[in-house]
Amino acid sequence: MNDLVSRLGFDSRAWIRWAFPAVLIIGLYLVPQLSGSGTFRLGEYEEILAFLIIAVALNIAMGYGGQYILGITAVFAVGAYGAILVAKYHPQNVGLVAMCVVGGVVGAVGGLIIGLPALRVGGFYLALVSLFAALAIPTVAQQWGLVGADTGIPLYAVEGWEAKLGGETLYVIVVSLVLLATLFSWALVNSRVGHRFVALHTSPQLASSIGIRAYRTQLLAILIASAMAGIAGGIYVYTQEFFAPGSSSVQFAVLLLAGMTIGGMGTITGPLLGSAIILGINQFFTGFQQYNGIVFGVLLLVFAVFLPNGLMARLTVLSERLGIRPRPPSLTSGPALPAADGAPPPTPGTVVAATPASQLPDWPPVLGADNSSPLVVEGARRAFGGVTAVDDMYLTITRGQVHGLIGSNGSGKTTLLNLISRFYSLDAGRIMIGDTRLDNQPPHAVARAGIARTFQSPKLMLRETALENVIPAVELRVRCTGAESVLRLPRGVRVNRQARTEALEILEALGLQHVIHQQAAALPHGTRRLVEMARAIALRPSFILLDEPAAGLSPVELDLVAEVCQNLARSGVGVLLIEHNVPMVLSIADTVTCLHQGKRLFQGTPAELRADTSVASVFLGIDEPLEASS
Amino acid sequence: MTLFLTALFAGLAVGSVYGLIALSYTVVFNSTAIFNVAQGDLMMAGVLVSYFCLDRWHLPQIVTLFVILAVVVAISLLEERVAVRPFVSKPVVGLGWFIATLAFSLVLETVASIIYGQNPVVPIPGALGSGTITVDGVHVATKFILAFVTMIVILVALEIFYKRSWLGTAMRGVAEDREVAALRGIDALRISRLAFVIAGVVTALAAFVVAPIVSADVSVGLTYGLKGFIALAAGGFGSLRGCVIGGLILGVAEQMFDLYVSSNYEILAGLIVVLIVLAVRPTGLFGRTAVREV
Amino acid sequence: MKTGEPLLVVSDLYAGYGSLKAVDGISFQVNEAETVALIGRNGAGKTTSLLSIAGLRYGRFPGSVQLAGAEVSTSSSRQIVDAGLAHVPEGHRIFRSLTVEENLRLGAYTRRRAGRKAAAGTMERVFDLFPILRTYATRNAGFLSGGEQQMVAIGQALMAEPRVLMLDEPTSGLAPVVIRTIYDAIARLREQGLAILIVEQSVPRALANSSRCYVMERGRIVISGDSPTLAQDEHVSAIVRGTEEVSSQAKTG
Repeated sequence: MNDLVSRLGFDSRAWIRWAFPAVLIIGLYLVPQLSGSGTFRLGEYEEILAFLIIAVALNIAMGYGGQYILGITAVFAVGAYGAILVAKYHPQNVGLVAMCVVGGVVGAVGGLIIGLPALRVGGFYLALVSLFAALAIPTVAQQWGLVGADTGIPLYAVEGWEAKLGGETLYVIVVSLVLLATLFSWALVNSRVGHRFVALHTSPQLASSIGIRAYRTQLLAILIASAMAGIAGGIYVYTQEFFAPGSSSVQFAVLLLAGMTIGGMGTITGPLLGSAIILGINQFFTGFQQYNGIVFGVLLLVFAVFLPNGLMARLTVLSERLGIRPRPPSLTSGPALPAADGAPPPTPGTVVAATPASQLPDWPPVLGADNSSPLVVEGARRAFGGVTAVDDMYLTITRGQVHGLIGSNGSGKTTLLNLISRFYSLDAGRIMIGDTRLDNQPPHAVARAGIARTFQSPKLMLRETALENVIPAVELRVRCTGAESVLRLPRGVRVNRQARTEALEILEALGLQHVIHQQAAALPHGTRRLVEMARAIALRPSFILLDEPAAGLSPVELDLVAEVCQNLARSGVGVLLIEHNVPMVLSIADTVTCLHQGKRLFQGTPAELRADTSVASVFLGIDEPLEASS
Repeated sequence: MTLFLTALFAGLAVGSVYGLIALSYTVVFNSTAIFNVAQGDLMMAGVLVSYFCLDRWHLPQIVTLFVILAVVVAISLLEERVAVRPFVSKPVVGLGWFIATLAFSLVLETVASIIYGQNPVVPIPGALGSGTITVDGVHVATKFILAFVTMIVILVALEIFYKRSWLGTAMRGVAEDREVAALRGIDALRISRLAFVIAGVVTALAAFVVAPIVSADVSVGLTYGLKGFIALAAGGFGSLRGCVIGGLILGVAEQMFDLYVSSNYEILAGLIVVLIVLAVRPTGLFGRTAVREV
Repeated sequence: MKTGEPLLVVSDLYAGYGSLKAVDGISFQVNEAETVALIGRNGAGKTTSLLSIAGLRYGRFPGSVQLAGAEVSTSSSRQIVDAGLAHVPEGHRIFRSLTVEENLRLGAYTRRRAGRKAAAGTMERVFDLFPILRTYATRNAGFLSGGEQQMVAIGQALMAEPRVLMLDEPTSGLAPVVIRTIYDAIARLREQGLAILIVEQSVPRALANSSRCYVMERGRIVISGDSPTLAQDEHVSAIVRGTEEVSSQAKTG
């Protein structure tokens, strides 16, 4: 059993995570038995089930992908109308499957129409446009004769229409469709596609730095969610045999959002749980329907303020405390260290001293390996308002060498790194690798060309484990199609496993084997830096840009970083090392550039720098030459 | 031609209301970095109060105005305390503030529908009576003029406030860097509260001038709220003048759509305005692009 | 002016997240008409200490901060400004969308009851200290150079007429000429009686411009003394550059 479990890509934690959704789904199957009511109630249950599918869809787009399609009910309505119209005009030939297909296609188109223009500008517009669409579509439908205006389309009254499935059979099928949707969403989230969603949601900069194309990824999230919402529309009209403007109002969108908040977004079960609760209350406590809004409003408010991560998060914590779910393993050794000023606070309790493999493996470049030219910065200039951060900069990063970049705070080091990795644009100058210009490409293209980077403050997907943080970087080079990965087709399974294995190897090489299954949020600062470094290495880049990797590290971790830099250089990678720790830089760099106020103050070997007293006096304000560490 | 002019003036009037809502959003956003989803519902509450005062209790216009101000500002402050303050002190991450203000709007709507019921609110006589001014053969209702003038006055007042007064300058500072403001002794929480009071006043005035112009019902809050956002987007986030221009554009677009295309589908005008804005000038007419920092 | 009474007295200050203390129990004082330097490596806890003293708290811990005798360890940042302490954070942070004049005026926000004339008077004194700001008075602060922005930041803090001034790396990334201007201004402020605490990255600069100095490492003060004496001590430089570990005082476990 454990074999099967690990082959599908779980770790032992996830094993128990299945308990919640399993119980929920089994409960859904049993509802008719338990409540004992007749067939007429089934229709109401099926309505809720259709909505649950929308909740799953919204969770994929919003909870994981960070795309705020708040008005997804508009897509649902459009899909539903599409399906019911097709059924109205071809009542003999259309069944559940056809309606789902039509609904899905129409929904997907609808989602694209809403999403495409909004995406060009930014996520906020998606929320605005989709909400407006959710408002507009019922209003338009009320006036449009084709869709029955205010009264809608009563499919049950259409001649020739007969639902071939009904009663308990239909109910079981619909629950199975919910199960299918849930399984799909699990499969998606744990595939290369899902990894891209989460990376993008966490931080567009993080995503770009591992080569993820933001626009495409966002569009895909919207497309998938819209298709699912459209399918839900098809299911809805098949089971209810009716659709009117009132079937999908903005109120309903609010209820859905409420369900997601209460259940907790970003987990598989959360939205199911929350939506089932909310929709259930709405459906069945009709006595006080007038006061529904107040109840929901207060409930929502309480959750938003006190339980922002929803019930699922609370239940998870509770189950860990009660011992039902094992806590992630922790290992304590070495001194507890304070975080660097300004760094995000690490959670106490788990401190790991890095115990690297005795010899680091080779990491020859894979991305960008076809070129053998160095990375050249020519005449770079960048100003912000009245402050010139970088001026007249010339720098060459040679493959196979460590290039140290030092300078006081504000001297332009990080700006230069951001210019190379294209997070800022140049005001003047060029950045080239051989004949290829880098400075006119988007940041994800630069990553794909083989330039990896770390950040001054480590950017990790905090809810994911250390392993899950490194895998997406490997997935940039180890390829298969999204579909193969999601649907677990043979090549997809192979590639998924290969990505996982490679990520594991790199983490082990850096001595992080003890934390691979720990959530990044629980890792102390130094470990997070190392995980981020592992991610950059996992790209197997030709150049790696490290932004103050030593800040806040223990002496052991510092040594590791130094060794890693040298190993990368030995493997043929060009390393740019920005650091305040001058002795460390001097001990491992082949070339050193010293910046001061955005300009290049010095460039040469460490020996030359040590001998140059003028640099020392300007830079550090001291009169003796710089000493290397012993 | 007269049809066109009539539609134009009507559009400018309704557009003024959208502009006032957009101004309210901006005032709140500038000091708290959140958008108050319940702003439209606050206006709707004001409209209801207006109806009760004028139509049921026959209070004089000036008293009505003050009652509306009192009620809307009170609800605003309540919302700030309950739904906004927990999020203002934390860095703005995630949907928390959105959900909280949405929840508040839900409660507000429900309470209103319990008090009033689901029927449309009957338009009531405006403050300047039901008279019209005739210009070149075109009749312009005085209530239209009142709406437009009110918006202009508020715009000017806000601009003066932000530029000249201690508090206004402090609010601009807080909007840019809360931490530095705190180090200079500027209490960010008090500033947020004040922002809600000001936004409440602007919204109350919007309610006062819109009540005679359009019929509304208790569910209209979200519609006005969304249209206020579209006005904001068209005019450019962060610009007071943008709010006004954006509102007017939306108002006029709707009326023109009514006149030349179809009055049934008027709501599509808003969607079209948004899509055009997104396609042509995403930052809005007066918007500025922010400097990104990594 | 001779060094006077202690205006800022910090005892057992802690600050941090959860059980991880960025500031692990430090005690020091700054007297009237005195410049004290606080140096240490990046990550030693200097910035967190100053922010904590200024009222931007990180958790609740025992310890005390006294300003001219008054206990302010639980006061809000607003109350601390009123009590006479002003902190200039690192990175020449000002309100870039406001003009220089508006920036300075906001510095006097807590004294706005005294009226515009009073604020104008204080602003004149700031212009005396940094004459170049007078020429830029109506310019948007975002268009000034880094050094000029830093002058605005310091001037803004001075508008509240503090008795204690804290500066976090006020000269980082600035040209030598500008550094000189700022340190000259700081010397003038000291002569006027201010108690000044400076965090500096450059050890020589810190020691040359202060009368006493504290060295922080891993959240604790590990060395303290007169600046001239410490300037002879090679350990100080080495600790700050990270080439020497502090042994017995370091926390373990």
